[in-house]
Amino acid sequence: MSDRRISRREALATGFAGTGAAAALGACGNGSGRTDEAATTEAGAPQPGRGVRAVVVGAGAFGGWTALEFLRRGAAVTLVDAWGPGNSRASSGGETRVIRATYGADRIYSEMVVRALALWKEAGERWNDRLFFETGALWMSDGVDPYATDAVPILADLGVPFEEMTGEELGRRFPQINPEGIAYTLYEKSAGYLLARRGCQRVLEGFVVEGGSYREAMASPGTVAGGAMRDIRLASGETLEADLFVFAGGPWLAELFPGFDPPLVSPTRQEILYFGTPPGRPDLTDAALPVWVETGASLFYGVPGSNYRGFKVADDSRGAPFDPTDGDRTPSPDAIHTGRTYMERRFPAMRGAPLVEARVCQYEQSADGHLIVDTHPEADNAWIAGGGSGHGYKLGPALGEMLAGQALGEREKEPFFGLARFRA
Amino acid sequence: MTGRGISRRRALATGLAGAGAVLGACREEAGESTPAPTPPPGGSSQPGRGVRAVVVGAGAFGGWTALWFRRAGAEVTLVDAWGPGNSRASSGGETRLIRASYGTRRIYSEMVARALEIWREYEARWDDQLFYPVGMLRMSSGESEYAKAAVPILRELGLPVEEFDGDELARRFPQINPEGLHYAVFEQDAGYLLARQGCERVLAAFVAEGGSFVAAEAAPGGMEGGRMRNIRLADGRSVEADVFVFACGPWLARLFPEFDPPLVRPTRQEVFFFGPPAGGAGLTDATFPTWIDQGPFYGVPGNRFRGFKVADDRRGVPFDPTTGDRTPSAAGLRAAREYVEHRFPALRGAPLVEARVCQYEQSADGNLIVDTHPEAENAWIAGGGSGHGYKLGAALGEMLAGQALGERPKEPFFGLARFGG
Repeated sequence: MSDRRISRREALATGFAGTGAAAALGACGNGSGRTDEAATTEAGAPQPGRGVRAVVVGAGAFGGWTALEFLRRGAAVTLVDAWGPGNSRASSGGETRVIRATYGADRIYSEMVVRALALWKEAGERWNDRLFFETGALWMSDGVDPYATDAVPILADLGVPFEEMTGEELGRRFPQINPEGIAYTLYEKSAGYLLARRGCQRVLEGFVVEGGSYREAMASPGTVAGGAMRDIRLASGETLEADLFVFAGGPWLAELFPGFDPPLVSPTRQEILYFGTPPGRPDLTDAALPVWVETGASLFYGVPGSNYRGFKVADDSRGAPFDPTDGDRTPSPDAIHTGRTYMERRFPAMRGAPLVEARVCQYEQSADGHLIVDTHPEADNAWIAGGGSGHGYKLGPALGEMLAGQALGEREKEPFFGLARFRA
Repeated sequence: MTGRGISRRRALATGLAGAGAVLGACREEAGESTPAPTPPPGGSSQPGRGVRAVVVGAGAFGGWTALWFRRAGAEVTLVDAWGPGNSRASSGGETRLIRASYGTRRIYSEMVARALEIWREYEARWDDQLFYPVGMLRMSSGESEYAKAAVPILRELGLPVEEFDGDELARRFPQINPEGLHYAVFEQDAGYLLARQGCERVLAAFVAEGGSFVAAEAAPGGMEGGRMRNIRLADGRSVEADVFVFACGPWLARLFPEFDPPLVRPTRQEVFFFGPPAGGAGLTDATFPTWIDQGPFYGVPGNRFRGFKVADDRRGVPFDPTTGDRTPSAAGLRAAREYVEHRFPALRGAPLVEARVCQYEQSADGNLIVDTHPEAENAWIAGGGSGHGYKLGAALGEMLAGQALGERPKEPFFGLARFGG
């Protein structure tokens, strides 16, 4: 850390003043003064991005990490966001996210999680902040859940430690949990939770410290000609030219690119509840209780502790359509009732616990629930990254690395995340 | 940063995990010499060497007091039922105003000036921004005595301050509808602090410097011969020490029910975050200061990308900080929205993006309490933040640690004697 040219705090004080953005943009537009600086931060690393101007729209987990990975490959990068990293409307907003490698038979995600976890840990070291809390994760289900059991050989193969338990064993090991109705549990031991909005902010700070330019503005795709995008347009009317574009617009992707059928994403309204544990019950916090997911008849998940916020409970069922810009985020009495009813049955010591915080967020659901990482059909230098579908955040660092590599020609596109699958 | 024995992150990963083990270590080590803490800035005086201190409450008051004790060389155990800046704590929530204008109450202005110095010093040490110096605008219908009285005090303390009339206010801040406003004081060095994140940082620094943290509910223990001997934890254990500090925010009255008037009365307060239009409409902290609109509203723009925060400063109904439900009320939301849409027209129709329900722990006169218990000269009570305490934490901790270690006299203004007797 000591070899950094400017401290994170200094970068914040200068680079972020928000309106100094024009100056920062000038540096990017003029080319490559900044690429040299980035080159020295990753001494010895290949610099396939040298001389490339990249613009990334969206400073959430996907866009922020992609921008950082471009920068570390030598590109001159401008990152644009309408409201800032992990803001309250963003799908990367909110406080915490589960990180787990259990992904059914979809090995590609398990591999990305293993990589992402290493990068999240490395980021925490680098930025001297704790972003990952290793609590383990419990997958509880009322029968044998293929989503968990299909993952077992993959986890074993990837060296991810886990145990399988019956409901009875679950009750013995975790007496905080009422195991009634649970037949099978997969305990993924190296899983846990990430600090979501704080992670986005740290990524942006790291990006600025390493020489990236950040602007707070609403952006939309600009001119496309000859199979390439030339620029993006900001709400002010200004345009930004670049060689490569990434649109990591979360729930706004369908608004940015309305030409797709099915729509790239459909945002759904989701509610997150934090209940207060009784005093003196560390067994109900992340000191003793893993993050948990229940599948089957009930689709709930939760994050104990959540860095002293409380016992987080969320219904994973997809909610009503939601407008991420103007949608009202007042928690609903129905959701509080449903969340409480579930929690009080599964965690009896939480009976009567007060609601201490709540959030309303959205999932940006792709048509099949899988990520989208592909170029626009009419512009081979314009990438679309999204479709987190309620499970994307944790993947951010691995996705950024993959996408930056693909866009700079170091890696092949990944067909699993391609747009062609929707056209079949 | 490089001089520290263990990183903050590592301290978090190890020191905070096993509360029981930490406590055990603390008790076993009692009397033994602890690893030498980082010397305090600007000197190596260690008036706390050999002193065992227990601090109950890891909020802004308790956390900073524990850190200052530790930096004075004491062996310190910090106890909190739910953790630093937790969602029930009065130091919870995301942001707090920090401003030095306090009417004629120079003592607070001085504390704020000192707190700002400390925050800046520790930010640099931690390489993390916790203070956002966006300024503070106090707006009123006329030349408010409270606002005006602070101006010469701030100038004496070297804190830049400007006074405007309504026209000037409208010119300088066209985002504001100036209707009914004819006087404003702009405090340039004011701004906002990250509240719960600040508490986390203080705790992490405390643990990194050798302090012990215990996650447990605590109550005062036995007193005899004019001294307190120990505190009791909910699980039956007790912790002995030479000096005790109870910085228990809204729980102080429950811990010490013997006082009349009660040490504090918690009131229910609501905080709303509205989402500005894309690009911010000039209402983010990039261009807009924190503000107080002469009764009853105040606000913080930006809030690290959370939104435009608005809160009603009027004291709400009595509130139980342990079991009270923190669902925001429709009436509170409606009042906040009406106010915001009137005063900041660009926020007409802005969606609510987040909300909080918190409490003020109101002392009988709204001023802090920093004094020893009448029956135990080694047991300090620190509280009565009354909705304006958080910002003072860094300076309060320094003052209280100095007083408890015999380096400074007590401050009568914060004494219990003012409530009678």
